[in-house]
Parts: sequence; C-alpha cells; structure tokens
Amino acid sequence: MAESYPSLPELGVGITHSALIEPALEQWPDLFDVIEFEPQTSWIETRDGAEPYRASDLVLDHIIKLPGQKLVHSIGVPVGGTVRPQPAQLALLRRTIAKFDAPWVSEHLNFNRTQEFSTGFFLPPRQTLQGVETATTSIRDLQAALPVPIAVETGVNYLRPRPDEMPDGAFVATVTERANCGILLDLHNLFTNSVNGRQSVEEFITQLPLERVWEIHLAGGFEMEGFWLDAHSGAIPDTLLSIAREIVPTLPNLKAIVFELFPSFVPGFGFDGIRTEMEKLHDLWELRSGAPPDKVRIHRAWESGAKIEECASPAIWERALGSLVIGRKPDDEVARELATDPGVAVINHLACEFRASMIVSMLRLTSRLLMLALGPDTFRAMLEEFWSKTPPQLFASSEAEAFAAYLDALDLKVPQLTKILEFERAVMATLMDDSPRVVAFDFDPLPLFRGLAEGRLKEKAGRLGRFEIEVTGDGLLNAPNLGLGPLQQAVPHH
Amino acid sequence: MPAAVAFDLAAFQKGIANLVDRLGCAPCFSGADCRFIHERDFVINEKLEIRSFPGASVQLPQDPVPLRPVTATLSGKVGFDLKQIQSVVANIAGRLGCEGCCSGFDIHFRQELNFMINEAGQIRG
Repeated sequence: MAESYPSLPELGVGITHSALIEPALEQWPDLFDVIEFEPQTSWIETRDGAEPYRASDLVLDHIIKLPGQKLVHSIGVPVGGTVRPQPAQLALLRRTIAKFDAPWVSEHLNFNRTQEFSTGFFLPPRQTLQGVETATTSIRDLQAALPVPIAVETGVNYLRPRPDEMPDGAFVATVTERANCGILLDLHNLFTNSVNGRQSVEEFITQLPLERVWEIHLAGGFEMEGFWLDAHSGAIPDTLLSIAREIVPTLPNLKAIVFELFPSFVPGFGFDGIRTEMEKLHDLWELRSGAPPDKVRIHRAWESGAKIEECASPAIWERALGSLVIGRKPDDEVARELATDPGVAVINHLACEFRASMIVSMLRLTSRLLMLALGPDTFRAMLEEFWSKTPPQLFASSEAEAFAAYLDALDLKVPQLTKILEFERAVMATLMDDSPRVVAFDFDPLPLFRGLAEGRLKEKAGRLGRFEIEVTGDGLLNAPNLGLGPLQQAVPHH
Repeated sequence: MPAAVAFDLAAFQKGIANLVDRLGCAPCFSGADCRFIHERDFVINEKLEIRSFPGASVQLPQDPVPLRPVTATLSGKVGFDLKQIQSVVANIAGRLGCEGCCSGFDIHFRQELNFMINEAGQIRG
C-alpha cells in the first residue's frame, strides 16, 4: 500500500500557535521549523446563517509571517462521530490551507457534537465496527472537501477500557487503513490513556500501521483526582520522552514533531521552558530513520474480524456519553452503565472548567462583580445551574452570551450588575461585528470599573449624572499598540 | 474605547486608571472639578494616554456638576510597534473563538478565583 501514500515534505519540529508564545518565536526563530495553527480558535461566530463564521485575514497574514512552515490542525470538524462537518467550516478551512500552503491537515478522531447538542469537549468515539464505519465515512467526507491529505489524531480517553470495544490501537489502525488517511500520533494522549489504565503505549504502537504516521504530538500534563490529564501544561514527562525515542526511528514517513502548550500555561511555564522542550524535540527529530515502508516491521496483533458484542450504536453512544458529560441525568441503559465509569465525572469536571474559563475570560468584570457581591461559592453555584440548563457552546463568545442571557433571566438585585453586563456584552458584540456601540450610565462608571479591575468593590458608587462610553470597532482587527505582552507577563492572571 | 482595550483587563485597567486620575481621583483632589469642566469629553489614545476629545467644546464658566453626557472614547488608530500590534490581534481573536485543542484542565478560572481571594482565604472587597 506504500504506493498510495501522498508525497509529503519533511518539515521538522515546531509548536502549536498561541499569541502568548510569539515572543519565543521571535527570540529563537531557528528552533521552530513548524508552527501548527488551530484555525477555529481565531474564528468569529457571527450568528449569521449565511456566513456563520468569519476568519480574519489580518490574523492569517500575521501567522504566515511567523517562523517556519504553517500546518493546519483543525479542532472544529472531528471525524470520530456521526455528525458531519459543517460546510461553512470547510470553506474557511480550505481558505486557511490555501493561505498557508499547508501540505496536510489534521483533525481529531473524536466527536464534540451529537445530533442535539455540543459536548464542549472532545469525546472518545465508539470503538466498534460500526464506529469504524462511522469514522471512515466522516474522514472520507472531510477528505473530499479539502485539497490536501488528512491525518487523524489519536485521542485521549478517560473512560475505562470496555469489553464491547476494539483496543485503541486496533481501532485507529482499522479506521485509517479503511479511510486511507494519515495518522497524527499524539504520544501524550497515548501516555495519558496508558497511565489511566487503558492500553499501553507499546501495545498501541504494535497495532498501528506505522507507515501512516506523518506527525507526532508531544506535551506535558499533570495528575488530578487520580487521573493523569492531557493538560498541555508544560514539560514532556521523561518517561514519555524515552518512549518517543524508541518510536521515532520506527516511523518511516514521519514529517513533523509538534509540542503542544495550552495558552493558560504559557505564563507559568515560561519561554525558557519552551526553548528547552524544543531542543528536546530537535534531538528527537534526529532519531528518525527515513527507512522505506517495506523495510519497517509492522505488527498488527489485533484483527478487525475479532468478535465484539456491540450493545450501542455510535449515535446512541454519543448521546449517552455526551448527555452525561454536559451534566444530564442518565436516561437510558447505555447512559446508566456509562455513569458508573469514574472517567465520566472527570470529563464532566474538565468540561465545566473550560466553560467557566471561557466565561471569566469574556465577562471578567461581570464575573468579578458577582464574586465580590455574592461570594465565589454562590458564583460557582450559579455557573453550575447555568451548565445544568444550557449545553456547552463551541465558541467562547457564544458561551459568554448564553451566560449573559441566563443572568438577565435571573434578574439579580446586584447593584450595577445590569450596566456592567451591558457594557461587556457591547464589547463582545463590537469585537465580533466591528460596529460601534454606546453604553450609557446614570452614574460615573469609572470608579467601579477601576475597582473591579483591581478585584475590589468600591464602597461608594460613582457620582450621579449621565455618562457614556462609546465602544469603537477598530480594536480587534486594527488593534492599537497597547503593549499587552509586557502587561500580561506582569499580571499573568489577567 | 476600542473593544480590544475594553476586552483586555490589563489594558482596560491602565486606561481607566489614567482616565480616573485625569478626572480628579488623583491623590491631590484640589482642582479636580476644574479639570473636569475643562475636559468633559475624552479620548484615550493608542498609548493609553488621556487627551481631550478634539471635538469637545471648552467653555468657561460652566456648571461644576456634570449634568450633560460625558463620552470617553478610546482611539483605535494604529501607529506603533508592529510586533506588539500583531500580538494583540492574535490574542484577542484567539480568545473569542473555539478553545484550543486540549483534553485537560484550563486553569484560567482557577487563576481568576485565586486572584479574587486574599492570603487569608477571603474574598477581596
């Protein structure tokens, strides 16, 4: 089958993009052969049916100017579930691929939507023969819509191994062979799964068609509640690096190795930390063999014909797992059985933390006012009630807007809350549509704003009178020089 | 006020601090109302400096109590270090969209809680 593989360029090592790492790119450009960009992170959700998403040319042009070849790592059209890719996303993906001249695109062998709701988190697919068929169809659909080859990422799975599912490596092998696509081998995901009691990395690798691996992801994590988390929080664990040193020489078509670091952890990890990890990746890159596929020993211990009792179709699995993860009570046999898996509670916890982080990031003044006026515990309880009533949104702007609507409905008697919320909604709306908005106050809002920015509630309200703040729209795409980099480093929690 | 400024708390805080000081919350209170009369409308420029809005009328004497609307507008004009501008573009765009690929724990909320709670475990206030 080697002759059917696409001819891809050998790129080298790099890192996933976030604005916070850019000083490191500037300081050590030679360390980064590749910058992997997740396009959906920079899209604006317009809520316009004809054009639901908007991508900024300024952002794309800015990314192009960064060091290294750009790769596209999609996070919005995962291929492990029954929900098909949105055409609007595909159009923007094509545009991004063309802009970057990206040689391949990667997506996740997970699902993040059911037919009814978004899950707010990448969830493991149904690893059965029906699940193989579902994923294969989805990959073929995506491949047909994109101009470059696709590699699918091996996912993290916090659930216990199940007797009614294929082994992790065998599932990936079967799907990628049938779909004739590449593999993005996320070694930290495999490491996480292994530490948490799923298949060992070694066994996973023996089941994989190694010649299909085009790219490797490496990252760090940490332990929480007895689980190792795929947190992308810092240094690659030494144990994982040792495993990677054994695997890299066995991959004949390896084209890139990418280090993943989630933006929230950049200030704590630091640029020197990034440099150290990149140097490790360069050492790792030198271990690749480049041996032709026919000389590589490939093990496939599991055959797709093995008997598996499939008690739930992919659609039933997605609905059951998705419902539990977004906090709904189990309402069928599959969900009741899944609810006994301790991994479900962990995923629910992680998904909620992501939702809370989106809200405090987008509605920071509102969140602080609520915490100061009502207490952090009450604020947390409000979030939990909101989560129980409202499924997650994929975009932070929509998640925040949904929470703002929830607050409106609560009609809380918190002084100044209405105006602070109105102001922050205006800011969000203007960021999204570039149209100016005026927010009127019947008191001087500046002392309140200043207090909230400092984490304090002023005892005295601002003087009475009519005040207005005009939020102008030339901020996002033609943003002024605010020196935000140094400011954020000085005050990282901001 | 450009939405980009209002959205980023560090810049927002600095801009508000500058404006509040200019409005009369500086340590020396004397003369604050006078300054306010003179400069009822303000522009926060791209350096986060406060300037009188070019179109604002300056008339003396006026009622010392600010009854008419006061508009604070932050200029969004670009004119400085391109590298920092680009960082702002990518940073703000990155926060509005989908969360990045991560199957772990976003510490942003925890950091915000930590910021709001003092060393004694009590909420600021």
